[in-house]
Amino acid sequence: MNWSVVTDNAGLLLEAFGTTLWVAGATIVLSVVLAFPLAVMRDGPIRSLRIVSAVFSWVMRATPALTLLFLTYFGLPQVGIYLAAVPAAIAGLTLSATGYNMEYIRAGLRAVPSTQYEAARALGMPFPMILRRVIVPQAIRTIMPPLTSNLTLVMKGSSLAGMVAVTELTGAGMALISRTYQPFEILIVIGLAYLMLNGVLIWLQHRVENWLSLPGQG
Amino acid sequence: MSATDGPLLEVAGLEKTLGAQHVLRGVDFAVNRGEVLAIIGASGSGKSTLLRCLNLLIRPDNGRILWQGREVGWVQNAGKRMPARERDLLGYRTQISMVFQSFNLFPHMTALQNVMEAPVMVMKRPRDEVRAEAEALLEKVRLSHRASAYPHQMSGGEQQRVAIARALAMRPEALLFDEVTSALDPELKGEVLSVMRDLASEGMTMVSVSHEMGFVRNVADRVVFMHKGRVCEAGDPKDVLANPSTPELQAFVRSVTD
Amino acid sequence: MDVLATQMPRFLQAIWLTIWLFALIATVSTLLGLSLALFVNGPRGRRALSVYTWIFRGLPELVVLLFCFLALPRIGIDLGAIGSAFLAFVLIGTAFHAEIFRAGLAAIDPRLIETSRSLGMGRMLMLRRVIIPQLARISVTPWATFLAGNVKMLSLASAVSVGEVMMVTRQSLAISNDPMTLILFAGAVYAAMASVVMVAELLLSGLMRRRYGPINGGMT
Ligand SMILES: Nc1ncnc2c1ncn2[C@@H]1O[C@H](COP(=O)(O)OP(=O)(O)OP(=O)(O)O)[C@@H](O)[C@H]1O
Ligand SMILES: [Mg+2]
Repeated sequence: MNWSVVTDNAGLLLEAFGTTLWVAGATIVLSVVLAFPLAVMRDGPIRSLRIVSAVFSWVMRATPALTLLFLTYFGLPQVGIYLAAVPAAIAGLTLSATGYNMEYIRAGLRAVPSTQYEAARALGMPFPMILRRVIVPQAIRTIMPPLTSNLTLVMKGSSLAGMVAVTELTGAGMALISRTYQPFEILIVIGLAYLMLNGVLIWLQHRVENWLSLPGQG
Repeated sequence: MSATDGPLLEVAGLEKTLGAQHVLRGVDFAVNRGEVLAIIGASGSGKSTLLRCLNLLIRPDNGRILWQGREVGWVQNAGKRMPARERDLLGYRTQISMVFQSFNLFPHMTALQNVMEAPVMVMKRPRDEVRAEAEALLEKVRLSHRASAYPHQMSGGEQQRVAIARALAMRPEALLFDEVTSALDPELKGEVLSVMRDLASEGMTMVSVSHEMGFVRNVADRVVFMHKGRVCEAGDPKDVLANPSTPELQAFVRSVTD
Repeated sequence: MDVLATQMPRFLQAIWLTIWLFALIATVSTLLGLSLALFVNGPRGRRALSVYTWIFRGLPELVVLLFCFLALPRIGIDLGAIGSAFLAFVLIGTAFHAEIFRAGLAAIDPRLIETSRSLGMGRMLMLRRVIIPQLARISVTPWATFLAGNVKMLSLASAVSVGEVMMVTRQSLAISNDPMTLILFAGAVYAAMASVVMVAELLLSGLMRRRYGPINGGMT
């Protein structure tokens, strides 16, 4: 083994690590923000919105993330939308993650007994307020565990961005391998970086679960 | 395996600690062939633990279990007393069969398949012969019409009667019952108890943990009252329950009669 | 559209390759994962297993794939594109399946085990007649969910030039001025395959529920 390939390119790899964090972080935030209204629509009172969100969820979960990524990177320019590699990757990965997140959120919302909606309506609360004050505080307990465990999947998924010319960890690694031809050292370092991130996310997940199991929380 | 003159099953000085709790603290009693022994006692007094030890589902820490005069659960190996291997206990378990409070039928098998399972798979008896016998057993517990039903399609009373038929299908020498009616609604208890009464009158040896005082009084030949992991009082149920001599049993009798 | 038409024979070949590669990977990794969950016992074995599952569930699939395809040949293990993809996905799938079945085993009602022992069943007999059937009921949904994701994951094999659907799509992109159609077509192919797995699971678990009642049914 010759680790100089890693030390010589430490700057490049660190930068790529930063890109991975950025792509994964943006995907996580955007996908949760998008998934919430979609999950509400999915069981909401308007039929057409219910159908649209159901189809969206199914398509996003049934299609490979890589295909969605290709769609936003190679496909969108065809309809006049030009995105740089990083935003295109974030858009594609977000589409994929949103499909899953909305199912978790929906399951949590449904786990709140319907009598709670009725009771809140009887108090004259408007729908957004019912959601905010009554339903979400109760649903969060069910929503958070699968949502946080999904974070590790999103983090792993960010590696796909490397296939559409984003120099995140995997992409940078592939470029470096084809230049130096030292796959062992490079892939081991990259693998360790991902496992470290994974460890952080699992730790976060435990923290969330502990926090939720505290009495009076969530 | 010849019948000996002594009791069919005898336990002496049985002790068991579970977790931090000394659950059995030296239990002694004997059951004769054809006898119905009822075990009563407050919750937590160790009745279930005792039955599990009798079947060697759990291994007692101390004491002896004699089955037809021979010790079970231990083997002499080069002069040393060693615990028997699980594999060597299987034969014993088919002779002393257990019925549980929560029925525990196999959910993926029909009533008939549940009854046939052990004779065919464990005892390797021919399937056709076992099927005829299993059908007869279901008839005996008055469930011929439910033979092809799955457990989730049956009432609790029906499930428990299938469980009894399943235990009988191994042609055991003795049956252990652990509160087999206490998970059942009152109207379903009767059908299970009447099956047990039939078995008693046919001379089946039974050890039954029960809170059904009617059953204890009228069906059992002898009753054992457990308290804090020991046999506190024993004897003819009518005598013992009518004139309890220890304050513990007096308190227990009072608690179950009102 | 023209490119899609001219490339259709290659696409059909690729679909066929994807299907059999998936079937092979699914079978092997299920069997391996099940064996690990059932037969790895003792604290040291358990710890080794959990390290293995942690690594292969934590690494991006692409990294494992690149490792098998690029790094292994350096130490003399050259499996070729398809062989590397097979090894990578079996390593990953086995880790997930071991976890799925371990959780399933833990969810089996312990009273059923005790009952089986009281009927004189030995370990192997109990495994065959009680534990595996119960496990099939409990684990079928997470198992199928993973496999549906696994179908889509095969698209990554295009990164190591396995000629599956995504690979043909990428090559066709280079000669097409209508990338959208090609990508949508590829998406539809994967969606169809993943949906077959999901629908099969729905039918199967519905059938079992109707027949055997709820999971751990008949118990109180
Ligand atoms: N696996 C175990 N680990 C630790 N303690 C146990 C275990 N099983 C039972 N115990 C304890 O042993 C005591 C006796 O339990 P057992 O189930 O034998 O009582 P029981 O007489 O059958 O009571 P019940 O009438 O409620 O069924 C109880 O206090 C129980 O908490
Ligand atoms: Mg008990």
